Amino acid sequence: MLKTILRRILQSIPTLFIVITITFVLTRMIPGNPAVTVLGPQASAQDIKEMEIKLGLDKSKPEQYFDYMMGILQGDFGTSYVYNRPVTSLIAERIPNTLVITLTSLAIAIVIGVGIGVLSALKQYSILDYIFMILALVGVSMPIFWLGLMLVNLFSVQLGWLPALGMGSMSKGIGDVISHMVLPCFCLATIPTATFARITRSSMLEVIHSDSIKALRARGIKESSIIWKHALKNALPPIVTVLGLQLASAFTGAILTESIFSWPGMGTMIVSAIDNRDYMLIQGTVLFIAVVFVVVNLLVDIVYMLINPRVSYDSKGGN
Amino acid sequence: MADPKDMTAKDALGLDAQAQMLKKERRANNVWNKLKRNKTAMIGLVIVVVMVFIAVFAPFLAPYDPNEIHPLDSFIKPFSEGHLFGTDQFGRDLLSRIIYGARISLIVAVGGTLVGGVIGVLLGLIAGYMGGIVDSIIMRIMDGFLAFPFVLLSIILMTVLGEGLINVIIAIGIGNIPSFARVVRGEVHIVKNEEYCNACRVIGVSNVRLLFTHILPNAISPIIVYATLNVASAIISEAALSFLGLGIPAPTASWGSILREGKSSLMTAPFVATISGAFILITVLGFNLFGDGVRDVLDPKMKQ
Amino acid sequence: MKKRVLALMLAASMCVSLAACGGSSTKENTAPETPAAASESAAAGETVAEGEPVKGGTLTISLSASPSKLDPIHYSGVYESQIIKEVCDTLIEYNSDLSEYVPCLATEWTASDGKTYVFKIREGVKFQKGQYQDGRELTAEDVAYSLNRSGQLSDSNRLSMLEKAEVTGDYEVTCTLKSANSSFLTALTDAGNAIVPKEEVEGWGDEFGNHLVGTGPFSLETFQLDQQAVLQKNADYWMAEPNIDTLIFKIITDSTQAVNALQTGEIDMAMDLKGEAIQTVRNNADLTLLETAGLHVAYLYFNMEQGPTADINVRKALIEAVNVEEMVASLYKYGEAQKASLPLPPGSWGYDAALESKVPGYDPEDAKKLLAEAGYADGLTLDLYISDTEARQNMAVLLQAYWAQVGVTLNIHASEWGTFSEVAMSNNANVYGMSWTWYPDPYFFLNKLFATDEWGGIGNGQHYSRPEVDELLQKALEATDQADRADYYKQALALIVDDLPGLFYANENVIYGVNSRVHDFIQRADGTVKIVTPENNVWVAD
Repeated sequence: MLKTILRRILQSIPTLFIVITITFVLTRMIPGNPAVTVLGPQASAQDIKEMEIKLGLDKSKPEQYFDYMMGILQGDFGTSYVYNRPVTSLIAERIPNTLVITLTSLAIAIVIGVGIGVLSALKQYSILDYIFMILALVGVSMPIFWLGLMLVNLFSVQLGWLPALGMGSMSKGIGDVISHMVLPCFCLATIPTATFARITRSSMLEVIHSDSIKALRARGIKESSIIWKHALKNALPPIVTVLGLQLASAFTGAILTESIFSWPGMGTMIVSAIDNRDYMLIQGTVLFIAVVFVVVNLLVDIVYMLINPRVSYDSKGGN
Repeated sequence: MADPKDMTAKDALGLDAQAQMLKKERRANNVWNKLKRNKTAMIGLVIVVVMVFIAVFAPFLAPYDPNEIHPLDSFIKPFSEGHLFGTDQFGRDLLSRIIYGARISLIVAVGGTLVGGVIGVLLGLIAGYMGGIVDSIIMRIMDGFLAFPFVLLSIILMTVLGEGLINVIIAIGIGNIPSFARVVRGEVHIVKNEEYCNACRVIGVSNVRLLFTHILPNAISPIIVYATLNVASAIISEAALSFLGLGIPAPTASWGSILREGKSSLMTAPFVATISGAFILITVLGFNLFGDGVRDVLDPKMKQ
Repeated sequence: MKKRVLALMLAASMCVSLAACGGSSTKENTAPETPAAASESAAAGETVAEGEPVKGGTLTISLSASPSKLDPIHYSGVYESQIIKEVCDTLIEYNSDLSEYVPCLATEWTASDGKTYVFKIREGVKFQKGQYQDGRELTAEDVAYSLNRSGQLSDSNRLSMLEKAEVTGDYEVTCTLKSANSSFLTALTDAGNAIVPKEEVEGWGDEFGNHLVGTGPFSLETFQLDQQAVLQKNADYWMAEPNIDTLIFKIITDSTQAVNALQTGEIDMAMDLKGEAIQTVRNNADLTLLETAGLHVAYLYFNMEQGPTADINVRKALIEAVNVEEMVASLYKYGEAQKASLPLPPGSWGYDAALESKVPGYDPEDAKKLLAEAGYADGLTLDLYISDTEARQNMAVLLQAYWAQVGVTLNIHASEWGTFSEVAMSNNANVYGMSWTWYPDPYFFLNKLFATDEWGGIGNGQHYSRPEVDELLQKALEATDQADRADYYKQALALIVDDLPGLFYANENVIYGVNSRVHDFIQRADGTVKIVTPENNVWVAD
C-alpha cells in the first residue's frame, strides 16, 4: 500500500506540472492587458507602458514562464497585480471562508443524504422511498445558481428571515455567523445530499439482500444493529468514493455559490482575478485547487483501501 | 499459404461476428422492452422528446419573433392575453424566447457532449489500446484538466474565446473530454484482452480496424449512458456560463441568458427568472431520468 | 486624478457579482418614471440636518466595488478613493456642489504665471498615530514629499504635470510645473495626491496601503479585502471632531443586494444604485433616495479612422436612425438618467446648451437616404463592442433594433472590461459603447476623449484627431482664467460636435439610498462621500 501511495504521489507531479502549464498558456491567451485593468479606464498609453514594465509583462512569454516556474520551485507564487500582495497570503486569507461553507455543507449532505438513503433502502418501494428518490433526482438536476436566486427571493426578500449575502461577523455573535451560512450551505449541500441519498440507497439495497446480512438476521442480532453497524459498514466503499468526488468538486459549487451570495472565498476571488487579468493570482489559485484535488483523491483512495482491504487499488482499473 | 491455425482463427472470428450481430439485435430489442417497463425512464424520455420537439419546431411554435422589442410593453405579467409567459424588460414575448431558448440550450448541450465525446472517446481508445508511454502521457494530461474545477475551466476558456454559440460548445466540449477518455479507457482495458481481440491480432487485423469494429462497439453502452447523463450536466453548464455573462451574445435567447436577465428584475418581474430556471430544471431532470433508465438496462453494474 | 470613472465598467471589472435578490415585492408594473418625479428627487440630494447633532454611533456605507490598494500612488478605483479621502486630506478640495476650490490642508494659494503655485500650509494639523510616528504635526516637508512622490511614482500619473514641489518657508510649499497646466488644481483634489507622512510610507514600504495614515477625519482600523474597511474617528481632526465614532465601508457589489442590506438595516447608505433597486427604495417609506445629476456621459463612439464610420455621412445616418428619447426612457426605466446630446455633462462649466441643436435628431428616412448615398443602399454590417454590464447590453439590444430599421446589421460583442479595453484602445472595431465620468473641469472630458495625444488610451480609442481642436484644448490648458478657459472649451466643443464623433445619449445620476438614521449628509455630483466638510458633519440617530 505504501508503494501505491508513493506511486500516486509521483504520478501527481507531472499532473501538477501540466496544470501549471495549461494555466499559464490559457491566462496568456485571454485577451486584454493586466496593466490596463490595474490602472482603470482613464489610463493613458504612457501609464500603461510604465505599468507593463513594473509588472514584468514586457518580457517575452517564455521568459515569464521560466521566471514563474523558478519562483514556484523556490516557494514563491508571485504577487497579485491588482492587490499588490503575495498570492499565498491572499489564498491563506480566503481559504478558511471557503472551507467553512464547503465542509459544513458536505457534513450536512452526508448526515441527511446517508440517512435518507438508508431509510429509502429499508422501505424500498414505499411512498416514502418514492418521495425521497424523486426529491433526490430533482436535487441532482438542480441548477444551483437558480436555486440560490429563488432561496434569496423567498427567505431574504419576501420573508426577511435570513440575510441575503456576505459573511457574518463573530463580533455580532455566533447567530450572525450561522444565519449568514444557512442559505449558501443549503444551496451548496443540495447536489451532494441528493447524490449521497441515491448512492447510499443502492449500495444499501445490495448489502441488505446479501447472504452475510441474512446470516446475521438468522443469528437473531437486533435489526437496528444489523442495519446501522453491519450493513452500512459494508455499503460504505461507494459512499466514500462519492464523498471524494464531492469533496474534489466542491470548488465548482463554491465558485457559483460564493458568487450568488457574495461570499468572500476562493471562488469569488478567482472569478475577479480572471476579470482583472491578474495572471499571478489566477495561476496561484488554480494551482492551489489542483493540489487540493490531487491530495483529496489520494486520501480517498487510501481510505478506500483501508475500509475495503479486499479491493487493492489496481483492480479498480480505469476508474 | 493457408496456415491451418490462421483458418480456424478466421472461422472463429466469422462465427463470432455473426453471433455478435444476432446478440446485438436481440439485445437492442431487449433494451427497448426493458426501458419501456421502466416508468421513470419513460417519463424522462417524454420530457426529452417534448423539449427536442420544441427546439426543432421553434419557428412554428413561437407566437412572436423572440427578438422583437416593444420597449413600452415591458414586464407584462404571465397569463396575459397574447403573452402566456408575459414579457421581459424589452417587451419581448417570454414564451417565444423560452421556445427559441430551448434550441440554443439543447444545441449547446448536445454539441458540447459530442465534441467532448468524440475527442474523449478517441483519446480513451488510443490510451487504453496503446498503453505504455502513450497511455501515460494522454492520461496525465487528462488528469491535469480534471484537476481544474469544471466551471473554472469553462470560465477561463470562455474568457479566452469570447462569447458565441460555437465557443460555448467548444468550452463545454473541452471540459468534457477527460471524463469521456477515462470511461472509454477503462472499458478498453477490459475488452482488449478478451479472446476475439487476441484472435484478431493473431490474424493481423489492423489496429485501427480492431479498435473501431470490435473494441469500440463493445464499449458503446457505457459511452451512451455517460453521454446521456452528460447532456444533462451540459445544459446546466451552458446556463451557468450564460448566467455568468459568458455565454451566447445578446439578443439570442438561451435559458441561461434569460435567467441572467431575469435576475436583475427579480423584484419587479420574478416570473422571468422563475420560468427560465424551471425549464432548465425540468429538462435536466428529463435527461437524468432517461440516462438513469438506460444505465440500469444496459449496464446494471455501472452505478456512480 | 480621477473620481468617478466609468463606474459601471469598473464595477464589472473589479468584481463579478451574480447575485440578485429582491426587495419588497412591488405590485404595480414599472411604468417609466415621469421626468418630473425624477428631477424632484434629484433636487433632494441631501438628508435632513434638523435637530441637535448626536455624537457617536456607527455609519455603514456600501461600496459597489472592492477596493484593493489604498496607497494613494497605487489606487485605481473610485471606491478606493472614498476610503483614502476619509483617512487623508488633500491640499485643496472642491466644495460640495463642485463649483469652486476650497482650502483644506492649504489655507491659501497663489498662481503667478500658470507654472508656479505657492501654497500656505495649515498650522497645527496633526497626523493620526501610526506605527512609525506618534501623531506629530504636519509640516511643509510632508506636503512637498507627498506631492513629489505622486509626481514621480503615481501608477496613473496623477500629478505628471508637476516638475517639483519645494519647501520655501516654514509653512510654505512652492510647486513648479513642467508647463502651464490649469488642470493642476483639480488634480490636487484627487485622493492620489493626498498628503501622507514620510515615516509611515517608508516604514511600511509595499504594505503602506494596508496601514494608511493621514490627517483626515477617520483613521483606518482594519481593511479586509472584499469585505469591509473599518474606520475610527480622529478626535483631533483639525476641521471639527467627527460626529460619528465608527465608519464602515462594506463591499456589496450588487445593487439589489445592497438595497436588501439597506432594508434589513445591515447598512445605512447604499451607493451607486441601479435598476429596480431604485424603485425598491422609492417604495419603502423608511428609506430615502438621494439623486444628483452626475458628471457622466454614456455614449457610442465611432471608428474615425477606418471602415464605413470614417465617413461622416454614415455617422450622421447612424445617429439619425436612433430615437434617443425612447431609448433612454426604455434603458432608464426608473428615471436614473437624462437624455444627453454633447460629450460633456451639463454639470461641467464648459457645457454649451446652444450646441445641442447641432446634433442630428431622429430621422430614419433621412438616415436611409444618407446610407444609400454613401454607397450602402443594400445594407451595411457593423461590429459593436461593449463591456458586458447590463446597462451596455441593454443599450446594444435596442441599438440593434433601431439600426436594423435602416438596413444596418449590428453584431454585438459584449465582453468583460479586460477584453473590451484592449479592443477599444487599439481601435479595431466600428462602434464602441462606453461611458465617462470625471471632474467638472472640461479638460477631463474633452482632452481625454478628443486630443490627438490621447491615442492609445481608452478615452480616445476611436482615434479622433483635428488640429484646430488640439490647439484650442492646449490654449485652454494654458490659460489661467476660468472664463477664458470655458470659452476655449466651448469653441473646441463646437468643432467636435460638428464632426459627429459619437452618439452621446445619456447623463446618469448619482443615486444613493439612505435610511432615516443618517443626518446632515450632502450628496456630491462626483460621487464622493464626504462625512466631515466645512459644510456638513454627518451624524446618525435612531
